Amino acid sequence: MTMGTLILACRTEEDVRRLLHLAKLDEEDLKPVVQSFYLAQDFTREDLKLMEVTPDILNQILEGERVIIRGDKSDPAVLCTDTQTYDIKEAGTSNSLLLLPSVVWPDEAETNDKDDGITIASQEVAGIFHNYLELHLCRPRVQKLRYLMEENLYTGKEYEADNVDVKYTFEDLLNVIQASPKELQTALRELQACCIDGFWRMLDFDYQFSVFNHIVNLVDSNSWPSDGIPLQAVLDTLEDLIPRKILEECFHWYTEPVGRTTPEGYDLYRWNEDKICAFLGEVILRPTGKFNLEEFLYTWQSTVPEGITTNLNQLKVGNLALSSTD
Amino acid sequence: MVQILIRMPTSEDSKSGVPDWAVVELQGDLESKSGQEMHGSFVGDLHYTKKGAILIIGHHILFGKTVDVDKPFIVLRKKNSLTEHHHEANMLRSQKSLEHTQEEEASEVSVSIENLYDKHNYSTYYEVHAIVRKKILFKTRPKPIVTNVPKKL
Repeated sequence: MTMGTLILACRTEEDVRRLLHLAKLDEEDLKPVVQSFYLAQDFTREDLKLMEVTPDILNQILEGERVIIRGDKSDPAVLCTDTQTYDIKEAGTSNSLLLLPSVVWPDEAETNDKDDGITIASQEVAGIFHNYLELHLCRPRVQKLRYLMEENLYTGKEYEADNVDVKYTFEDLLNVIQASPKELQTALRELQACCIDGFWRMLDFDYQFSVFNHIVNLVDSNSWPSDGIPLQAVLDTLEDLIPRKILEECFHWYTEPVGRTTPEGYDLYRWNEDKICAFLGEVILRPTGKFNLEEFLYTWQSTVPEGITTNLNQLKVGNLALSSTD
Repeated sequence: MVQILIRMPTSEDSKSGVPDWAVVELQGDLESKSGQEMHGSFVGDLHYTKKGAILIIGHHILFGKTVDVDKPFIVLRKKNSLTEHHHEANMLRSQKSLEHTQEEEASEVSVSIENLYDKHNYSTYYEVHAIVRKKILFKTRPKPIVTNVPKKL
């Protein structure tokens, strides 16, 4: 429907004056521009929706940033910007919202083309609405992500050639997860997923353990100090066995930068004790599920690399719980 | 899953950017006196006084004022990139009189994706057709205009 189908105004100054006198209004009190409203030919406008947004979201849309509504057919719809997710709700009101493409505002209604008398501006009501869409900031729906990742865990590059199970790129994931790109990135990081050949994969747990062991053994055999581990050397030495990307991700999960470099300028790292202990605690508990506390503590301490002390508080870092019957 | 983009009009659609539209908010519904078709018909006159706005609709007079909306509205127009834009057949809304209504009730319902996209094609998107930043709000109940009965014939 184009705006050109404005109904010809057929009301005269007479008509307007008659109405305002009927309403007991004094022309003296009124500004000289009067607006007569007419309904458009098609004022039900099924093709239009009103959505209440925030100034922030409006700016993002105006600047061409991605603002997308996402969901499966029967999902409650969400709206995602680059960084946030909002529930979309339909707010009903018993009021009528008349939508006007053009209106004369009070400060524009002061003067008219006549010295005396009224100027009549005809305005079209493009649509009448009784509800509109409202946005409520919400948590992204990322629970599904772990499930998707677990469909095809990475178990080693030897197995990849025959791997025909489903794999997801970042864009694929945005297609099935109701979250903003930034929230999806955060969720992937929390799951310790890696981007391998463009696909996001979670590592099979045993594989992750073997990568960890390769790194620890390398550190031991080179006698590097536990607070002076060169990332570059680790990558260069092990990349034939383990894809570099994975090596690097794993390395960063269990280390932290020291702030110093080798003479050649490569960054040095040290073990992140808490994360390593938590990881190894999980390694020990996984196969058995339950473990006598004393035995567990003993085994645990003897498993961690030299120089690291275990501590029950570290288990909170991982996904483990301590039950009193252990 | 469906991804429905909300985007600005392309430069072919709109040379001068997205226009600002206005909302006039009033209590109740508009009705047609004689039940005749409302399309294209006259609604009422809007007058401004020094401090506010006056709307005369039928036999009612409403008092209100211009305000900035708390949060901006965008007017979204549903489009799809495969076929020409079309909208469903016109339907006349059910008529209710411009009576005094109860206090505004806000009811909130989650919107399912099915309500937002065209089932027959997956390339639905929404274009920002206009932005609303100001409205003329008539919060008070419409007052009936009492006309004087002529004293003689």
